[in-house]
Amino acid sequence: MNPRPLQKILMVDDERDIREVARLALELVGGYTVCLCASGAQALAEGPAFAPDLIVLDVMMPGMDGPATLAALRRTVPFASTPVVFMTAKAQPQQVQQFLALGAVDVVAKPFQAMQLAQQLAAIWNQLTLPLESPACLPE
Amino acid sequence: MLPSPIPHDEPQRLAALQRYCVLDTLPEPAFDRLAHVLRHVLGVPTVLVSLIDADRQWFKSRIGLDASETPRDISFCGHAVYLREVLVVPDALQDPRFADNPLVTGALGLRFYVGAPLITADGHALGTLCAIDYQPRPVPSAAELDVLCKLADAVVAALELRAAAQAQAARARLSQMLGQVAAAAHAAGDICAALPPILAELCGYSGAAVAHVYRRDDAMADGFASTGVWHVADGAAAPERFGRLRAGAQPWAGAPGADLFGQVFADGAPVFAADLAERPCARARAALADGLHWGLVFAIQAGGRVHGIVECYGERRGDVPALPAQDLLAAADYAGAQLGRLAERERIERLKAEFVSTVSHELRTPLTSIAGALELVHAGVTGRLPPAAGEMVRIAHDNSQRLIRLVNDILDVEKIESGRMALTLSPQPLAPLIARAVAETAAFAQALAVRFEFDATLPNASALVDADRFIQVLTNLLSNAAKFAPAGTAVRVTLAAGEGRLRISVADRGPGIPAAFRHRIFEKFAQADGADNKQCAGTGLGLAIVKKIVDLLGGAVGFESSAEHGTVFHVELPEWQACPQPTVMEA
Repeated sequence: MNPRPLQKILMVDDERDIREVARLALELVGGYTVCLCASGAQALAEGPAFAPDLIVLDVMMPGMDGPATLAALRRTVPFASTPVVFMTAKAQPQQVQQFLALGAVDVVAKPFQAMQLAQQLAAIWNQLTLPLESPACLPE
Repeated sequence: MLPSPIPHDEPQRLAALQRYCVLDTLPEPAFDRLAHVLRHVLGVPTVLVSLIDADRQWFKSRIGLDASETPRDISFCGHAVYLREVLVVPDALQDPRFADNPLVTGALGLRFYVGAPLITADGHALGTLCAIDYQPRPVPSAAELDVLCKLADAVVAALELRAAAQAQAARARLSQMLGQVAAAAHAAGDICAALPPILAELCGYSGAAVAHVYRRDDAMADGFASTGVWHVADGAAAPERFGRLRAGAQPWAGAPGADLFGQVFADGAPVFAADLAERPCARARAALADGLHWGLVFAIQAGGRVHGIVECYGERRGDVPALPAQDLLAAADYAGAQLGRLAERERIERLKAEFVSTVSHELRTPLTSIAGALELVHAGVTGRLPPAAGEMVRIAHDNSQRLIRLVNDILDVEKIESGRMALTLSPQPLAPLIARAVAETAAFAQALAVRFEFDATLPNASALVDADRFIQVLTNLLSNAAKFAPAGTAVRVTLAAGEGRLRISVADRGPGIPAAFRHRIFEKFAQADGADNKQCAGTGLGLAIVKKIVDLLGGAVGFESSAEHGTVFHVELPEWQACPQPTVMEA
């Protein structure tokens, strides 16, 4: 069980309506603080100030897609070890394995159950053992 | 000396001679016997069956002579072929045409010659049947000349018979080869598996030393790239063999042109280049540099689309059985069509999979927003709605969920049908999996006022299954049963074992399946009329998916149904025995 409670979630998705539904689901149902970004670039620019506990990342986005955004996040000091959950319509077992291999902590399938989303992310968060044992977060 | 003159139909005459495929072959009794008869009739020391090639006369039969050929320009037979009638030279030294001929003045010392032309049914003089003596002789009698002419006719008949036998053998070989190509294509199932055996067949048949395949490269617009698939007839050949051909196998733009590939691409028809030296293109030059002399190039094509190009090259054709060019072209055309059929099928499957995947993804994006928004509104998260509006939102919400199930089911069906559904099989106790499926579907049933009853008997009864897919089978059967069970009744789930099999049954007390619908109940989008009058309509794919997954698991699915007792669906799977039960020996 993760001893630290989940509070702040950064949601990155190029679809405005999906961002809005996710925001309502996470804020109104889960009571989390949510920051919405429409692209990986925006997340890299605005994310550090928000300092999220967890990042929810769409996979298929124009320009910098989910995996590219994850790679860029990992190279950015504030996000070197922030847990990332991919949210995708491509959530077949082999695809999920590929996303996990890229460094995501879990995958949420689209369409997600809006009433369950907050609970789903809380369960993922609670499974995490912090600090993440990632070489990127080791002191130099 | 008057050199042997050239007949007016020389090109056609030479082509006719080539068609008989007789030059440079071994002696054959059919011709030698006729030559012996003539020698006996005329009492001469030497008789020849001489064939006039472009620059030589070559002897198919030679009785009393060691040489197998002489230059054409000094040949007596060339004159007979030109004249197209019997040529008699009683004493060559007295004949100004031949008096200084090296055959006369040289070591051979030819003095007497009589030869009858070998004229084919289509009127070409191929050579002669001739008799030679080394001293002057009188002109043969009319009876003797008549025998000579009749024996010359018999030589032509023997040539025709020989050609017919060759053609028949070639047809048989071609037919056998085509059969083997078809069988290889059928057995392989896909083009990657089909290429090696079909290239081997082609090389074996044509005598080609090497074959190589280009395929359309998606990274290049209309371009082709080497597949890296090579067949070398001599499998033990050194790796550096055909090095120039390999090094030159660069991407090809895929455009019509005068080169071998371009010609095939433009016409769609195979090309046989008997002499690569006459084809000024890069591939021909590379093949020539590797010691290859002829080429056979054809397209892998179907429906007017060229999927690939196959190139076969061979060494000089003297030491391989000569095949008629049209047979080589027919073999290549057939192999190209067989491979093309497989390539086209793969392309369509790929397009279909991409289409289904894209459409499913494109549908899911708006569905995520629609279903999510409706779910939040329906649950009252965004505030309380008036009753009528609430009912409308419920309908929209239920149907958005139905659309999600439909998209998921379509993807599943496509995956199973294209063989892309990967199963992770392991021996699993079925009772816990059934309990999970019951738990996952309980809320759905509860909304319909239906309950599930499952006694977890046989806790250790196991089968080799993919747990997720097995649960998918069960949830499909359970939700199906819940939809048809009358409100307030129970759907009974049982697990039984017997004769090495496990049987899972799902029984409802519903109205039963209409008799007219039973035979197509496992078909896609098959739904009985009036079946979905409850609030949760199905996708019409649930039972089709059940059957496909159970088939993949090596099991069987069936049902019994009646209006009085409802419907029982059952799934049977082979029971997994971790350790075979010891056989009990009776005393």
